Amino acid sequence: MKDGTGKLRSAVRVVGLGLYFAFAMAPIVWILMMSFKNPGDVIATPPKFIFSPTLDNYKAITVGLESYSSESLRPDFPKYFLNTLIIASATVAVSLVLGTFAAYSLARFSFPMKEDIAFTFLSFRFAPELMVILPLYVIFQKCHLIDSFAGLTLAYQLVTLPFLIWVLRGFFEEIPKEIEQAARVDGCTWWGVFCRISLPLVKPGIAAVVILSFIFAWNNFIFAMILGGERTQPITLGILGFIGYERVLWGQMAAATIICAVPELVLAFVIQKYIIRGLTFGAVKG
Amino acid sequence: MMKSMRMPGRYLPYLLSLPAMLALIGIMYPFFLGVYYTLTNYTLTRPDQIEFIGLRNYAQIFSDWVFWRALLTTFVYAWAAVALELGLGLAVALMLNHPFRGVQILRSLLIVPMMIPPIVSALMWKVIFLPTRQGVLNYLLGFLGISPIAWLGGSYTALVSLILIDVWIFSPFAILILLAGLQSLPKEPYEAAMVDGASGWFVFRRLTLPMLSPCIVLIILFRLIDSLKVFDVIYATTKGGPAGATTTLHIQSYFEAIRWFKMGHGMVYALVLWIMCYLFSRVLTRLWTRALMR
Repeated sequence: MKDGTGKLRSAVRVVGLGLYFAFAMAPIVWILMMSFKNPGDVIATPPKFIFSPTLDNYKAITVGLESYSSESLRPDFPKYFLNTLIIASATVAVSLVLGTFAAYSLARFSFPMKEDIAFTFLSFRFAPELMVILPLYVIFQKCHLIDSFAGLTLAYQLVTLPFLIWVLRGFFEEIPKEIEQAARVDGCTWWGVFCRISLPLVKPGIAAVVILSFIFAWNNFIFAMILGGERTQPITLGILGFIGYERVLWGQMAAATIICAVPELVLAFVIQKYIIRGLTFGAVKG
Repeated sequence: MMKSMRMPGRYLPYLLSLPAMLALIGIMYPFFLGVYYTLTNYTLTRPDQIEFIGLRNYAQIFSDWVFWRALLTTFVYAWAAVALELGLGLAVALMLNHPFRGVQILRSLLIVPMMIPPIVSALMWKVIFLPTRQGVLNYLLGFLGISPIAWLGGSYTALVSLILIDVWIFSPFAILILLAGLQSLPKEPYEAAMVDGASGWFVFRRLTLPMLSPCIVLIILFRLIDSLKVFDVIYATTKGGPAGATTTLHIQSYFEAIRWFKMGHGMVYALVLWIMCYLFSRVLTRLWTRALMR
């Protein structure tokens, strides 16, 4: 009897997991297929599952393809890609410098209102973005920061900095205080302890948090939509452009989607071990 | 020697927190400026004529049914998405919590939907949801004898479709956390239950579920707040339509402020949403620490 329920259970498991992963993976497979279709096959009714694959969509958005574009041969997509790369890298670099020190001070020193300050940071993870972006839009207009890389890097700090501080603080708190104290007794300055002991010990944490911040910045859309413009347009906005009023370039959109997602997925797999910890601000030690 | 050790200790915390403080001020200043805007008639097209008008913005918005519909839509979207993600997450996590060949690969695959930009996922689904038999979903449903559904185009189906997209993107989040929770559960209570001959359902209800409660509260905290303030997914697919059926507070805030230039109105919508998010996050973080204590 025991064996019977065991078999039933594993059958339920196979079917259940099969259904879930079909649901989870099907859209990605469909878009991947779509990115290799020619314009006729993309809009075919009923949808085509068997077709002769072509690289034209990828060519059209990267180097340009005469037959695919009516206006110009120079596609904007590489520019969007580069913009995203600039904004995301600059954002993460600034956050890392500011955040590491802040996280260390919140983990190691005690000062008045420490917990309140820490919680205020966390609470902005839960604030609707427009609450800050709309007033920021007014400020940016006055300071001529709209559609500038500097402005967007500043604004994106809201996405990455509270997150980085909170997660790194957890990593710093895990270092036994005794190790640092021993180094201090041996004559190390405070700065020496920080650089030679604490920082190397949290290296894996820093790597994980940097990659996740980069992904968050890369994925961001609402900040760039309101505070950005023609010049700084990132990939997330650029992809929307494939769906115009007169025409919808499904094939090229699919190719752009794949190009946009692949670097992130590679990075995410690298830090797989720390993903849960990062996504929950360290609340679950995954 | 003693002195040189204590000296940095006194000033360094402040010096080191300085960047964090500056960042905090950088965030708080626009926030309070925004709160001030809710009390003015600030219009983006006439930035030099700001007048203090008291609570008139609030009165106008709270007496408008558009606000109440957006509030309802926001709640329906958020709670439905969270409930589905939690239920699905629990089921899949329990199924994945057994060693079998290929389980590691399946666990890695879970990250994929979460790491793709939400706006990109939303666009992928827009293609899949195309009305008529051009959309692959309608085409496949055709084999089951179901006639084409308008999905994002219908006033009821649009909200359902959006919730489905949210579930697709974020149920892996619930699964991953619950899996981590399941794997850190102690073995002893289960062995004791085995000896007592307890049924599987009993063990699940009396042992697994209570011990998972911190994880469950944490999932509700993160997912509820994020779906209350959802923006990308809706903007990329329905833009609040058809006829306002999927307009949430966040979307309406954007329309008021950026499309119709009424900064004051937009900020009222954003502030109401912020208050909701803040209250929920306060209550849920408290629940979470209490669940951890047990």
